[in-house]
Amino acid sequence: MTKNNLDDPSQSGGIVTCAADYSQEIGELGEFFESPQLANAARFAFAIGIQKNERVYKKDWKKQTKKLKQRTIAHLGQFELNRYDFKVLIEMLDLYEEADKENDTPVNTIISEYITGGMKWITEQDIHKGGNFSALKSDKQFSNLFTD
Amino acid sequence: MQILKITLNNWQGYYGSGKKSTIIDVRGMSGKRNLIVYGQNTHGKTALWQSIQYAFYGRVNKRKTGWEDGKYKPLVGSETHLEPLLNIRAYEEKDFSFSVELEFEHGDHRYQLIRSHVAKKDIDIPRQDRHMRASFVIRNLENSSFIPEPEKFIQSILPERLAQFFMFDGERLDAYRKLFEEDRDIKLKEYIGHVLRMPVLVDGVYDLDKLFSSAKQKEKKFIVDRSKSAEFLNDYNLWKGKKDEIDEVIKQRELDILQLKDELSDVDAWLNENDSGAEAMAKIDIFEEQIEDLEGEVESFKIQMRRELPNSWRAILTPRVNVRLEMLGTEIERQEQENREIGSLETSNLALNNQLDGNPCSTCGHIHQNLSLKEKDKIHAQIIENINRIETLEQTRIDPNPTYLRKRQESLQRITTDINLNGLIKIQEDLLKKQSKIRSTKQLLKKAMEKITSEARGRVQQFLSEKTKLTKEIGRVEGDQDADKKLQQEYESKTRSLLEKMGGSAGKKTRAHLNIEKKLKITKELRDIWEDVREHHSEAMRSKVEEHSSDVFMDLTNMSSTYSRLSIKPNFEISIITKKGKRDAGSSGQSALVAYSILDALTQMSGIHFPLIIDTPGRSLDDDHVMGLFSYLFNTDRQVFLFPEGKELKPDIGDEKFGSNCAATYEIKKSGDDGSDSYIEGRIKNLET
Repeated sequence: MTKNNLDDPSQSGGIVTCAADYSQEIGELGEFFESPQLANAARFAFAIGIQKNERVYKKDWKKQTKKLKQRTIAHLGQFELNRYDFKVLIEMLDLYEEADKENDTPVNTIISEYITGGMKWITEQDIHKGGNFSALKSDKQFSNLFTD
Repeated sequence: MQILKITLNNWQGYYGSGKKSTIIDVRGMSGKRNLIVYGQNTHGKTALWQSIQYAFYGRVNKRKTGWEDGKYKPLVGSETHLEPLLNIRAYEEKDFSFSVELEFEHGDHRYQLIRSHVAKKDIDIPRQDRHMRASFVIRNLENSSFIPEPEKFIQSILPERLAQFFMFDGERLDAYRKLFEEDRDIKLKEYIGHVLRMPVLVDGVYDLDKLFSSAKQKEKKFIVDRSKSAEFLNDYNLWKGKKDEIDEVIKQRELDILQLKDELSDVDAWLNENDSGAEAMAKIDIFEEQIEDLEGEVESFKIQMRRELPNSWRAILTPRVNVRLEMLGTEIERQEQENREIGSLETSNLALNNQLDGNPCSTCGHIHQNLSLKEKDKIHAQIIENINRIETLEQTRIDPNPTYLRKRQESLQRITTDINLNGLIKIQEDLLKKQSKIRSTKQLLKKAMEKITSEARGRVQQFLSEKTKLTKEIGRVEGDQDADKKLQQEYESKTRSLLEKMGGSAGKKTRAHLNIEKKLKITKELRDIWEDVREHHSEAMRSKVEEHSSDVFMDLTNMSSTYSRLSIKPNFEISIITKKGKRDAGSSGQSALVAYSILDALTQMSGIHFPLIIDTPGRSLDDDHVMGLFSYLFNTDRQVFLFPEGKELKPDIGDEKFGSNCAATYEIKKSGDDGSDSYIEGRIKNLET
C-alpha cells in the first residue's frame, strides 16, 4: 500500500499522526508505555486532549523540517486496535464541529489534532518525561483516575 | 680365564687315550697364550673347537650356531654320520669312555678340569646317552682341592648362554648380521644385554617389582582380613578411590588458588604504587556501577509504569463516555418501554374484539354474552384509542434507529473501564528519586574523571579489570574447592565408617599392616632408583660398545674413506654410518667385520675374561681383511684361539705372520686305514720348557 493510499480515508481510514511540534516529546512519553509504545502514548495523549478539550488544528501545526518531522503513529485501524470505533466516540462526545461537518474532516485528522492537543497539555505539565504524572491527580478532570 | 692345555681322550675323530691322548699345549713363553690350529675341512677343527664347549658345559650342539635349538650330539654311536662324541674306533674296540681335560688359569689360580663319560657298569654296549655315566671335576692345582660345585663354578666364569659371544664360527657370522635388522633375533639382542651385565640391573628391577607385588598382595590380605565381608571391601575401595581422586583435585586446586592469589597480589601491588589513580579509578568504577544500577532501577520503574498506563486512555475518557452511555441507555429504555406498551395495547385490542364477536377470551376463555349497544360502543372507542396510541408509539420507538443506538452503546461500552492509576504516582515518586540520584552521581563521576588522564585511566582500568577478573576467578575456584572439600569430608566419613565396619584392630591398621605399607613405599622408591641406574648403565654401555666397535671397524675396514663409524641404537640395532651421515647396509664382508667389531667390543666390555675361540675365522672375509683381522686379534691382550681352514690362512703364511704371537701353532692331519682318525702335529712351539 502506498503512502497516498494510506492518506486516503476512503481507502484506509488514513494515518494518525502527531504534529512536528511534539515529535520529540511523544517519543519520550512512549518510554512509559508498552509496545507499541508510540501508539499507546498517542492514545493517552488523545484521551487527554479530549478530556482537556485541547485540539490543535492542523493548520496551526509547525511545518515539517528535515530535523523536525510529524510523527507517524499508526493506521487508523491499528490505532483503534481493530476493536474500538473512534468515529463513534467522536460523534457521541459531540466532538464534530460545524467546520468538520462542512469540510467533512476525516476522523484520522480529528484524532491527530486531539493527540497534538493532548501532547501540548502533557508537555506543559512536563508529564512526558515521566516525572509529573501527579499533575493528573491534582486536576479535577482526572479525579476519577485516582480512587484514594 | 685362560686355557693352558687341552687333552682329548677318544674325543670324536681324535682316537686314543692315556699316553695316546691328543694334547694341545698353549703354555707359551713370556705369557704367550694364543693358538692357531690349521686344518682342512672335515679334518677335525670343529671337533677340537667343540671339545672346549663340552669341557665347560657337558654337551655339544649339533650345529655351531644352535646354541638355542636344544639339539645336541649323541654321546655314543656306531655310525659316523651320527657324529657321536665317543670316538667310533674306540667304541668299536669297546672302549666306552671319552673325556676332555682342560688346564686353565682363573684369577690367581690354576685349575684342572676333567669331564668324561663312561659306560655304566651294567651296560655291555652303550647305545644311548642314558647308558653313559657322566663325571665332572675341577681341581685346584695349587692346593689339590676339588671345587665343590664345579658346574656353578663354570657358570660363574662364563654362563653357557653367553658362550656364543666368545666361541663362534666365522662361517656363521651372518647370524650376527641379524643385529642389523630392527625386529630380528630379539633373543640375541637380549643376550647382548646379558653380556653387558645389564641383567643384573634388569633383574634388580624385576626383583623389586616382585617384592612390591608380593608386599601389595600382603597389604591386600591385611585389608581383606580387616573386612568382614567382600561387600565392605568393594565399597571401601570404591569410596577410597573417590577420596583419592578428590584429594588430588583439592591438592591441585590449592596450587591453582595460590597461583591466582600471587597474581592478584602482583596486581594489588601495582595498584598500591599507583594509588591516587587507582583511587580515582575505583571511584569512577563505583560511580559508573552506581549509575548503571540506578539506570537499571529507573528502567524497572518504567516497566512498572508501563504496566499501569496501557489502558489509561480509556480510564481518562470513561467519565465522559459514561455520561453518553447513560443518555443512550435512557433512550433505549424509552424505546423498549414503547415496544412493550404497543404489545400490551395490541393484546388488549384482541381481547376487546373477541368480546365484541362473542368469542371466548384468549386468556381466560370466558364468553361475554348479550352485550348492550352502549357497552359495544365503549369497547369500540377503546379499540380506536388503542390503535391511535399504537400508531404514535410506532413512530417514536424507532427514532432514533434502535440498531444505531445499540451499535453506539456497544462501541462506547468497550471503551469504559474501572481501572485507576493509584499505583502510578508512587512509582513516579520512586522514579524521580532515582533520576535525581543519577544526576548527582553523574556529577561525582565527572569530578573523578577530571582527576585522571585518559592514558593513566586506561592502564589503571586494565589492572582494575584484571583484579576484578582474578577476584572473581578466585571466588569461583574457592567455591569449587569448598564444594569438593564437602565431598572429601563425605568420602572420608564413608571410608572411615567402612574401615570400622571391616573390623581389624577396631578399624585401625595393625602394626604388621603399617609395616607392609612402609615396605611398599620403600620398595617403590628403591625400584625407581634401580630403574634410573639401569637406564643410565644401559646407555653408558651402549655408548662404550658403539665407540669401541666403531674404532675396531674403522681400523679393519678397507672402506674407511666411505664410512665414518658404527651406530648402535638402544635396542642394539646396528648400522654403518657413512661420512655423509647416511646409513649403509654394507656388503657381506663389511657385515662380517662389523660382527667381529661388535663381538670384540661386547666381550671386551663384558668384564668376562674368556678366550676368543673362532672356528674358520676368515670364512666371510677377503684376504686383506683376514690378515687385518688376525693381526688385530693377536695384538689385543686377550687369549685368542683360531682354527682357520687352509684357504683362509695357509700354515706357512700363518706361522710367518702370526707365529710369534702364539704359544704354539698346530696342524690337524688325518691317519688310519680309512683316514678317519685325526691327529695334530706341532708346528711352531714357543712353549715353556
